[in-house]
Amino acid sequence: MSFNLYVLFDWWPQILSAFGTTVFYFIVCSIAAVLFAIFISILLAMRIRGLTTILRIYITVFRNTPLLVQLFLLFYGLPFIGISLPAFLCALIGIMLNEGAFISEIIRGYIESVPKGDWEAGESLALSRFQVIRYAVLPQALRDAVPAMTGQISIVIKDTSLFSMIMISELTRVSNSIYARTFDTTGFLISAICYLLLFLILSVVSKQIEKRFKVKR
Amino acid sequence: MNQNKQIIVEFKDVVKQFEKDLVVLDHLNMNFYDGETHVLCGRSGAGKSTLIRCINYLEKINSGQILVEGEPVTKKHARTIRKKCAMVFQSFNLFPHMTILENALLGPMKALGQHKGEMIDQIGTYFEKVGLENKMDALPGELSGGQKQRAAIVRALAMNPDLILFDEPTSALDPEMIGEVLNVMEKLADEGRTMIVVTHEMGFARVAADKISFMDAGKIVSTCAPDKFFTDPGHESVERFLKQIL
Repeated sequence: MSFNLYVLFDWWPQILSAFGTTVFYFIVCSIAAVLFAIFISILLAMRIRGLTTILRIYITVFRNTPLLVQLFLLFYGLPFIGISLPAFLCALIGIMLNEGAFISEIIRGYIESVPKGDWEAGESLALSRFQVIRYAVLPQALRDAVPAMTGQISIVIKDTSLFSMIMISELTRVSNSIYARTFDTTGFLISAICYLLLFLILSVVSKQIEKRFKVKR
Repeated sequence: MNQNKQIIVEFKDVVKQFEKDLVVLDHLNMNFYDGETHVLCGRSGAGKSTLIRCINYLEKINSGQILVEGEPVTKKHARTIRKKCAMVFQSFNLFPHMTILENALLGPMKALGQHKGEMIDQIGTYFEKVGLENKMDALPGELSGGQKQRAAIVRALAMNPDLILFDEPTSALDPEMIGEVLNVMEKLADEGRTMIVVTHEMGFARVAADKISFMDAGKIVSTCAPDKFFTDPGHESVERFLKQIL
């Protein structure tokens, strides 16, 4: 295994395009997963009988089955019941459901760690439970959860490599194509560097967000 | 002495227990009157905080009935009751991600449906009253304990409540900050605000209270005007309590 520059020179348009695809999927899927997770964690915090049980089942199922299996079920399984989704939507929904389950558990933990007194202060201002969550509790929980959520979102970067299995031309798929044509693993090394680069950018952005929104109690 | 005053809170045979054996309010019958500052005192665990938390449904009673301005305190009426009864907590409980002005605006805007423009001048005068007019844009984390508690009082006042409940408002404060909070509360008492105050600050009770009640083991054992309370409370346990803390 060695790093051969010719791969970069010969294949740079495909690599660049794949990098763009990976970045696009990472951003869109991360945003969707976080928004979905916030929605789920609000519903959990509302403690609506029946709905909470359904959400617990969803979280257990999606946290404890492989993302690749979930993607295959969406991409190859749904057409059997008459639903054919494009690869983009399968990827988006797959990450949203899978990472949404993990991130919602993180947010739920931070919601529960908001001091009981803050809940009571919100209630004593005659706010509804939803308003207490929306205005008093969730903003604190989300600020506190930034480091843990960043850790989970960094997994989305790696998750995008699984999209190669559902025909999306992202970095791993293009690297594999390069290998199939040249028997040279340099494409995989370039992919690894790109994934690492994305992670480093995410870390810097996360540190800035953490610093900007940290709650001083 | 209460003939001309309207009852604002009425306890009718109220029982509150936390576990099977732990009775915190024991068949309590009690009235609180409009325009009065009523101080509740007693040893720790006597049930004082629980009593005021039951008024705005932060605690649910086991039996009996509490009426606030004639309206029963139940889950169904909780939000309506809370619009009338603001609360100041021992640990301030200001929302740390909001400025103290935003803290004060939250209840009126979201629960009472008022507009920021309508409220801002009035809230500004409350901040002036408590001496925080230059700190309105500060986050709670940037303030001292005394300043936080004064901001919490403004948040309660902003609801324009008929009754303010104070749950040991100075207990979490350093001694040098207690005075600044008590001064604000004395001003409110002088204005004729209706307040129920759980406190161990007997100096405040002597100066500001219209009535003082002493609680012991979930019962009110004595209720009287400050002069009588400190000279002839009429109950041995009150005398013992006063001897210990004065």
